[in-house]
Amino acid sequence: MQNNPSDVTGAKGIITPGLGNIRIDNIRFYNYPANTHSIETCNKCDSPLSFTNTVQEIFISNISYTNISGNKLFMNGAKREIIYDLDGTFTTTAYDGNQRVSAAVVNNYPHLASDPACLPTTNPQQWDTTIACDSSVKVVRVTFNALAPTSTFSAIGLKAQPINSITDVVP
Amino acid sequence: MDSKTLPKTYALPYITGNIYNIWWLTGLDFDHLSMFSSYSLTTNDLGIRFKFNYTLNREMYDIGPIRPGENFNVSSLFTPDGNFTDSSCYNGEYYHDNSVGNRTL
Repeated sequence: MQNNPSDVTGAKGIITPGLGNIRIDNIRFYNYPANTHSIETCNKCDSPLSFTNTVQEIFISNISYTNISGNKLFMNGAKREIIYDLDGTFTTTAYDGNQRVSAAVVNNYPHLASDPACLPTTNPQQWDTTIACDSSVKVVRVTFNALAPTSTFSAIGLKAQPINSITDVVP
Repeated sequence: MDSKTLPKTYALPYITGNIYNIWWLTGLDFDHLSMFSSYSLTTNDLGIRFKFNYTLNREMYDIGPIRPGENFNVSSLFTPDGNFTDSSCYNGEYYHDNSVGNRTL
């Protein structure tokens, strides 16, 4: 990318699809000024009419950032994606000072952030409101769908709370 | 999988090996629910246990097969009188307690 901020404001390096998964491998990002996104997730998910909330899986390996002052990561829409950093080159120490062997980067949802293996970035300006879960845990997508009666579940959000024992009662 | 073709879809990341209490609003009962997991979740991974509470009495739940992958072990239904603990719940098994005050799937 040419280092002329006035020409590239709003530019994105990679926009991941709103449906399906994607593998990003062997990519170098150079000279992304402020107000740019190296990686933006969920194409067109900024439009409520085309929202998809099915948790796309993004697999990243062997990438590097050089001279980046814009967002390294921006999650569009509902921020449901799981970004699998397969070799630690996506997060690196720039994320929070820790170098991970691998990581799963997800939005800072409370039911995930409460796990000690998942730590927030120290630079939310560049990494959005994400947390990185290290290789001691595995983060996967689970979908509940076809809830019925449909009228009951119209525009109703799901709530998930981790509990220590199956017999624990949520207040 | 498209949220437009699968209405009332709730997809989220979860951590394997954990137990999650799941509910909607202040507690809504469902008549039907399907569940899909990512192909990233393999049979070698720790399971994820979901606990659903409900309000109105349900004598039973019909549990269908998982496609593709492992079928639920419907012969291993735990009952409220069963010895149901964290260590006694294995992949594909489920537990239903419709006693007043508990009402848990």
